[in-house]
Amino acid sequence: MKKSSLKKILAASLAGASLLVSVSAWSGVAVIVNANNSNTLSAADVTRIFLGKKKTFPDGSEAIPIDQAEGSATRSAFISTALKKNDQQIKAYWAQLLFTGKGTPPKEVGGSAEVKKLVAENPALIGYIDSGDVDSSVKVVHEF
Amino acid sequence: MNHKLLTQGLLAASIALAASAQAADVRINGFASIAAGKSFSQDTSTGTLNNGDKSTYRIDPTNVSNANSGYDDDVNFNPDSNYGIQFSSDLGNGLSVTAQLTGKGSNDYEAELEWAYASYELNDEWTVQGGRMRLPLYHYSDFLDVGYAYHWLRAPVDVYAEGISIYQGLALRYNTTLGNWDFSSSLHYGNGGNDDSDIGDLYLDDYFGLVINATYDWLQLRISQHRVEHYVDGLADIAPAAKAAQYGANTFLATDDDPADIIFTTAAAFAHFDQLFLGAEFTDLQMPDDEKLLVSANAPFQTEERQAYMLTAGYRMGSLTPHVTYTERVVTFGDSQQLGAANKELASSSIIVGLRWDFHPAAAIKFEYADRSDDSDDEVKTLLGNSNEVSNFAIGLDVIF
Repeated sequence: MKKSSLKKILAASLAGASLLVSVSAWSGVAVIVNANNSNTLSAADVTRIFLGKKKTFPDGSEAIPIDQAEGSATRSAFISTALKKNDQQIKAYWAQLLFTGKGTPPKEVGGSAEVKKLVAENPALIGYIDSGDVDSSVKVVHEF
Repeated sequence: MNHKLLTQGLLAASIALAASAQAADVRINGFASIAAGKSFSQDTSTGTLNNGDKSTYRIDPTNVSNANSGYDDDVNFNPDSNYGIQFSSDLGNGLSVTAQLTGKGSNDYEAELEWAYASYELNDEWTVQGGRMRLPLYHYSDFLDVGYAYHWLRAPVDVYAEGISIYQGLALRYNTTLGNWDFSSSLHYGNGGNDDSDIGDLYLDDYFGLVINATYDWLQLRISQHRVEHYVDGLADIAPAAKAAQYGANTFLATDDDPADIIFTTAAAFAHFDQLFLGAEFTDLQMPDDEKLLVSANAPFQTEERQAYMLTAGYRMGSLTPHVTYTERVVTFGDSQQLGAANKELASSSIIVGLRWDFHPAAAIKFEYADRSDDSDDEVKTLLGNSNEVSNFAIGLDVIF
């Protein structure tokens, strides 16, 4: 009895995990900056900025990462591919930094449309959106 | 040392900070753990020093006189329960202020300032902090109160067992990258005290700490060394004859006028793979002076050196993370009349198995079982019995907000 309910939980969480994988498989994530930002960024640079380990672009100017709201599929895809963590791990990661004064998580600003609008207005911002939402108002620095 | 005045000053500062919410954004975050557990398979001591005492599972070594600092054979909701509320404000130009109020079940949930400091970012790499902060002795020390941030219900108690957790002073932090490695190092200086530690009214003077963290993708390494002068208040008042009778004639006790050095060194490594994670942390405490560290406020022998380590492994399966941990702790005593010889050991080993269930984006439920054996030398068991022998089971809920 106990064993079968454990199996059910296992099966449900595995199904959930595979659903997540299939969603991220067909939609790429584009990391975007302001159109006037001339920096080129490696995948490692993007990861460091979004984990709070680096606060500047390669040219020394301020870099402020912005997140999509929790629960967004683009966010989950970005966390797993760029940051190599799952949603719970990233939450635990920021809890470690936040409650020890070593960093604060990026501000959450809704979905791809909001991120794109803010990045287009502010050269210090760096965000990520669904590849399908990219247009000329922003510049793509990396795709995951 | 006037801790009370400092605490009050910091409290006033944090209230002022909260009041100035309009001037600068104040960020409020919090965490809480609610847990219940009980001990079983307790040993009833036949030792001459604690005859009849039942072994308990001590959770909080900083509030030892409180009955809720550990589990006996009754179900108890207090030892692992706590809450914390953090206020932080970015004042601009690299300056920020942070205050964290925490309350622990092991201290009747009395609100205490665990952190209260100002932080100034000199540039992208250097930050200086001043105020009241956590002693960064172990890998998990800084966020020990935040259960959500790690896989266990609590960090292994046989390794994470210091009677003091906070210091007042300065920290200089340096972050840099070298190739694919990220380094974060910190230098600490300050003083601290705790009147309810396992060895009495403990004071730390001239504390120096150095911590170096190196991270490469899946691998995280940490080394640290800490040097401090310590003494236990009140020991100087014991008359020489009484001291000789209780602690032995050749015993030097660290006092206010004659403090003793402690050198504490740690090394830790953590590896995170897709689902599997492994961790190890080794710690070593040495007493280089003649004056030794007491084992407890009323035990007649003193620590010469101490080693403790833990090995842990976990496996993430969606929202479930089963994990297993092994710990060992060995305290080696100096010369002692009652033990009859030097280098006798008070030792224990534990196996901890647990399950973390992330049932909610901001909350986790944890189940944890710990089984500890007493591996002490016979001479020590004659005096203390199997004081380490105990098992414990606990269930907890960790949330962050």
